[in-house]
This record gives sequence, C-alpha cells and structure tokens, in this order.
Amino acid sequence: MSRIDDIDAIRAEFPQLARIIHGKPLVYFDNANTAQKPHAVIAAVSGYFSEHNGNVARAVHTLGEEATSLYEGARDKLMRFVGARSREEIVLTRGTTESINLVAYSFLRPTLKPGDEILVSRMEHHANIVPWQLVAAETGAIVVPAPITDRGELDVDGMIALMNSRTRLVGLTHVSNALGTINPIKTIIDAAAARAIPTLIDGSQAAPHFKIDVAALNCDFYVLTGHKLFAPTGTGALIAKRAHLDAMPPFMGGGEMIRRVSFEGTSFNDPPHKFEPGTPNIAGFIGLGAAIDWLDAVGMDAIAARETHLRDVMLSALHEIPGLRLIGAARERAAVFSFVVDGAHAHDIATLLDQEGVAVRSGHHCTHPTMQFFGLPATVRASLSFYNTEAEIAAFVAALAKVRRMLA
Amino acid sequence: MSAHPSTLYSETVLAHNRAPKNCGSLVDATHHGVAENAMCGDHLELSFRVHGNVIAAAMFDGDSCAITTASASMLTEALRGASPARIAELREEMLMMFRAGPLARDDFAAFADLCHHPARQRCALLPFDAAIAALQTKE
Repeated sequence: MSRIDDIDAIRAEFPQLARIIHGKPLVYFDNANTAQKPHAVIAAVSGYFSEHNGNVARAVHTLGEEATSLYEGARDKLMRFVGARSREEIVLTRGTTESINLVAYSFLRPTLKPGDEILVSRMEHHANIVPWQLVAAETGAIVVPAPITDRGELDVDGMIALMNSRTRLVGLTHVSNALGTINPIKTIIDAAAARAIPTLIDGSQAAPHFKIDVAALNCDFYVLTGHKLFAPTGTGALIAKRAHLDAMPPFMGGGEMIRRVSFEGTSFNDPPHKFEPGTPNIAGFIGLGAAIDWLDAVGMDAIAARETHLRDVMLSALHEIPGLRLIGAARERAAVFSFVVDGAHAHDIATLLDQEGVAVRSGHHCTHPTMQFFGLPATVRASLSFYNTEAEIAAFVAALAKVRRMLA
Repeated sequence: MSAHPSTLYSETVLAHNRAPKNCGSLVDATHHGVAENAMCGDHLELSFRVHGNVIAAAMFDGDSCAITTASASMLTEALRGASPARIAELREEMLMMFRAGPLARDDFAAFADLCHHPARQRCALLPFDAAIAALQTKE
C-alpha cells in the first residue's frame, strides 16, 4: 500500500486544501497554474528563516554553513529527482522562464546568424516562444512553428520534416499547459540528435506528475519550475549537458559567479555557479528540496497512477456535460482539461465557479498560438493533482451546472 | 481571511448581458475604435456617430464576457446625447468606484463589487478604452 492510498491523510498535509471559499470547501483545480504546498515545504522555509538564516557559499560561520548545506542539498535532491548525471548540470534559476532565457541568450545568441532557425511546436507556452523571438530579432534568425493536429497532438513527422541544416535548436514542451497533451519527446530528441540539433524540453507541466529521467531522454536542456512542483515561487532549474554549460558565457554578472575579478579582466566560476550570480532564493530552494523529499516519500509512480485514474474520471464527467466542448483530444494526456461552454464566456465561468469554491483558470494560458490554432480567445482550464478527489470532480460538475443556469 | 461573497453577477449585469443595448454595427459611423483584453483575448469594437459636440448614436460589437458586454451596453446607453468628454468622466467614476465603493447612481453601480475582483476590472474598462480609441480615430 502506498501512502497515497490514504488520501485524507495526504490532503491533511496541505493546509490550503481545508480552506472554505464563499462558504464552500475549496476545490483546487488550478494546479497547472501553481500547486499547493505541503506542511513539509512550509516548515522547511519557515525553519530556514527561524533557525538557519545566513548567506550561501561565502559565510564561514555556522549559520552560513547550514544555509549552504541546505541550499546545495536541494541541488543534489533535484539532480536525483530528474536523473541528471551530476550536480554541475543543475543550474538553479527563478523558474522555467529564466532557464529558457539563459539558454537563448547564453547558448544560442552568441553563434546565431541570419537565416538560422529555431524550431518550436505550435503548442508552446509563451516562455518557450518569446525568448527565441528576442534573440532571433537581434540576429536575423527566425522562429519556425511546428504543426499540431486537430486533436491537439504534435505532428511528429511534420516537426521532424522541418529540421534542417539551418535549425539551431528544437524547443518542445513535455506536457502542454493548455491542452494536457503529453508529447513524444524522446522521438523528437532522437530525431534532432541524429541531425546534431540541440534540444530543449520544457518540463514545467511534466515534473509534478510523473518520473523524469533526463539522462535517458538525452536532451541537451531540460527546464522546470519549482512552484508547480509543490515548492515556493521563484525557484526552478536548467538541467543541461555539462559540455554546454562549460562552453556557455555567463548570462548575468555579479558576485558568486566569478573566480577572480580585476579591472584587467575577470575569470568566472565553474558551472553551475557561473550562472548563479548574487544571493539566490535560499529559502525557496530549501523549500524545493523539502518538496522533492516529500514527493520521493510518496513515490512518483504512485502519484502518476492516481492522477491517471483522476484524469479518466474527469474525462468521463466532462464528456457527459452537454454544450461543453473539450479543446484537444490527445491520446496521451495529463489531467489538464481546457474547455469552452456554449453561451458562456470563460472568465464568467471562472469567476462564478469561484463563488462555488472551485478554483480554475480562464484565459489564453500564455499560449496565444495554441488558442489561435483552435480559433478561440480563451478557454476554461481545470487541472488536477494527486491530492484532488472524485468527490471534488462531482462538486465541480455540479458547480458548473449551476453557473450555466445563471448565465443562461 | 475570508473570501468576500460576490455580488458582481447581479441581475442588472446579467440582464444587460442577456439582452445588450446597442449591440451591432452602426451605419454612418463617424468614429470607430477597438480595444483588446490581453488577459483573455476579448476584442471589442465601438462606433459613434458624432454631430457637432454630441454623440448622436453609439453601438458596440464583439464577443466578450458578461462583464464587458454589460459595461458596453451601459456605456453606449449613457453616451447617447452626451458630449464626447463624458467618456473620460465616466471612466474616472468607474476607477473611483473600484477604489472607494459604489457611487449610488445608475446601472454602473452594479460594477461596485469589482473592487473585490481586481483581475476583472479590465473587463469593465474595455468598452471605455474602445470609446477613447474611437475618439482618436475617425472613420
């Protein structure tokens, strides 16, 4: 028996899940936006401030040494969690957005030439489009969108067909935040590798839901964010092949990223510290370490199995609702559901669902090109996590029916 | 901390949304403006027929949420027969209401609860932005 089988005990570890919203128990279906935090994470953050607060990697006193151990310990935990080969491959960042910008500016821009191509799918989050556009605009390179299908799946052959001698990087989301689609990233990574094209995988929506093994994937860059992984905001990572990190120039200059500074010339620290200037979000990363410990104890396989069950229950429930149109029908999908409802705007549904205690996201989910592909300005998105329940799915369905009656 | 029970979707707002006033295209428009809500991608167009210093007619078009639709319906009603300067005054009154609570007058008071929904204030302001854009661009 896995710990996750006692779902009441699991939920009791997440204090936010006990909240009453407008007189109703909170049904938190906005996990793709940000996940709730277990007591263990909150206690780790609080414990850092109340017991260990000191700066990392420079103070030799006890508090500084404790802070450094806890902070660097989080890097080691993350390394094991994603199956990276060494701790030097883990650059701690503020999140996925910073990780991708780091690759765009430090890895790609120095060698990008006019006519070079950056290939990304049409289902990317803006964070995996706009940084590439910025460096492309500076250098005369172009960002090429790879096609998706009406089901909201990647057109794998279409993406591979767009790889050519001008392609300098392939960027692809592991799991679509807007559609829930799980992409066949290994196929794309292998196809790109066969053409000596580096790959960047956006794992923001994947890491919270199933086991990641970056060494087996053999991608060049894997990026993720901590706040969707039950950790504090302002934490994330770039997991990169060591050879790339050695070759890349620093992205931001400052303290901690240097070896020796003089006005005649400055030499830089080794990776990953070369890319981590200034005092980092120490408490946040200690929280991330605690989140990973917590996930390891519950087990990612048990989490994935429970979420697969919840996904199937939710999918059946959504199919039963007349006038509701699910956007995307990927055969491999996470428990993330975008939908529109006849005669009701996504924002109205989301505000009124909140009145029933149900938290969902509405809008474009930072995926304008995906929304344009489906001809929609906005959708409602319900995204589940392992701590959600079948009773919550039933409460969501009842609340949605009530909202529709109001707007009719 | 307890969540505030919302009165945003009042009967006034829902009635304007169900049967919006002045929805459609305006023939012989002299001014036409567009505004977009970056948060949801909503797109609203607003047209005026201005004679002298008076808005003789105002119509809006677009596919938007209930808050934007109701606001556009109320705004186009309020502007008929008014001077174009009235748009900025009404917008300022809306902003005051978001900060300080309801101004006890007309249908716009229905939006007072937006002070508790900062993310939705933009929805109610969208028709005002389209109206201001319209004043700056002639047909």
